[in-house]
Amino acid sequence: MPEWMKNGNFKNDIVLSTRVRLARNIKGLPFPSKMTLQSEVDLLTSKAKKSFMNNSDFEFIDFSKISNLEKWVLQERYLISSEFAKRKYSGLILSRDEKLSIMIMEEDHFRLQSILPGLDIEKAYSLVDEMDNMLSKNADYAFSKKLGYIASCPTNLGTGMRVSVMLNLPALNISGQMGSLIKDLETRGQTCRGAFGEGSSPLGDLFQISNEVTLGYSEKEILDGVKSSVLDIIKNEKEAEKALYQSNKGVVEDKVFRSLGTLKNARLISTNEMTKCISYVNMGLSMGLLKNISHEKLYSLIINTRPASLAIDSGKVLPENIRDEKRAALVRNALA
Amino acid sequence: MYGFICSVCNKKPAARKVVTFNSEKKKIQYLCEDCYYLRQKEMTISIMDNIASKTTGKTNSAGGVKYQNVCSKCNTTEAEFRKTGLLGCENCYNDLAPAILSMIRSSQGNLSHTGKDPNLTASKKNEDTNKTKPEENEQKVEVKQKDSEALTLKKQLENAIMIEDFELACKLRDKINNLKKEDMSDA
Repeated sequence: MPEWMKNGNFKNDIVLSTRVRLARNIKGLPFPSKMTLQSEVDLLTSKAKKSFMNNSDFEFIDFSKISNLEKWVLQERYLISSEFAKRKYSGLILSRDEKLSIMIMEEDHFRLQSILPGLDIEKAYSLVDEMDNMLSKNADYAFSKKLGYIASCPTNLGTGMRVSVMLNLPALNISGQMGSLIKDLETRGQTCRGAFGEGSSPLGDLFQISNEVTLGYSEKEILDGVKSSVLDIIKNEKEAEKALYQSNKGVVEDKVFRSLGTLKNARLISTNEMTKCISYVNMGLSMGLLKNISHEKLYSLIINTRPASLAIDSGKVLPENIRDEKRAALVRNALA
Repeated sequence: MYGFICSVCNKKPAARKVVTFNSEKKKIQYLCEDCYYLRQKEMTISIMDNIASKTTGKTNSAGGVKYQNVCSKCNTTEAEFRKTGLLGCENCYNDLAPAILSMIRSSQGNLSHTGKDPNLTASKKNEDTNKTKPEENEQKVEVKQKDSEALTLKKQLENAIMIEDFELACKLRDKINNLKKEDMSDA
């Protein structure tokens, strides 16, 4: 199980995680895409280290010293972006509990992130805001009164903040309501993406709700806006669950128990099939059809059984059939 | 999400509905996340090309728009920015301003920052608060009452989320929003 997910409050069975990310750049230095001098990269790294490495709660992961597979695992755990996983230099400041991190030299000089299990938007922001204040003591940020925090991409100007909440929405997905939900979010300056953010394909019934607009609204307004949408979606998902069960009791029960049977007995299982089954089992728990299975266990399986996480022990990428076999064994053990 | 396959790649499940009008005819397409993302990127570039050709009239030999602006500090060209969406340094915001502003308008809709300011430290904020004039105290009492009401509602909202009473949570959220609106109109 990823560290950040441990001891999570999953009373709310629909929300998997809350993430807040800030984009920050240093005044006077070229943005990463135009940075050519190692001394400039070293300067950024030293500023980040100076701010956090005197605290034993943080460690620095040097990207020139870890394997591609290890970087991939960090990505699967939602600690770095897919672009950053391709970096051969620079590095990551990471808290021991993995809840706080800073990517140095991603699209911007610094990408600060906090990730928490379940729905906890205020706490996630307060943690990343505190980290931002710590870093700003050693880093003179590029900032303009008019445009806010200057980012390498204008879509991140202003607050430089992206709030993402990952939800599991089987009932809304089955009942074909995702289309209208996405349309509604767009009118609120928010968006719905796949499990791995921008450009990623949908995985099971996992969706990320996040703000698209970062300029012209305060951090609080953006946080409140996303929270308000998430609350509406949770309410709608619960209503859709009830409606589905009332109109298709037999079909819903079959999906839930068949999914549990697959998870408990399959000898080969793909990520997509497993995620879909977990989604239905979660729905069954939420409806009271199933008991004594923790959401924490189910959600951690979604992350721990991804390709790189399965391969990390052997140190090399595994063929698909071996991965499916290892994944099935892990799932069976977890639910035994 | 829609139960269809993407009409562009014909492989992945459709997740986005796209409505276009051609000669007043409505056309509906269902795209997967990847194809939708590519379409949005291409559309942004094409809109920006259009704006540029209307404002500068500069075109290249192939009939496309020729972008001549270059950042004097990092040498990022306007064409480079339009292709990647990324700028090279702070100074690009001055030297490539027209292209950037049109992108900000289309993606953000707003042009003025209202959020956190790194130059205003907590201590500065406290100093400013202490400088309030005595005649403002009466208003402050009323504001404090509203603040405490909002705080109570927020606590109730957190509790409602904890116990998974989402109907109550939505009602409490609406109450908090109404309080905010009152604050705004008072201001």
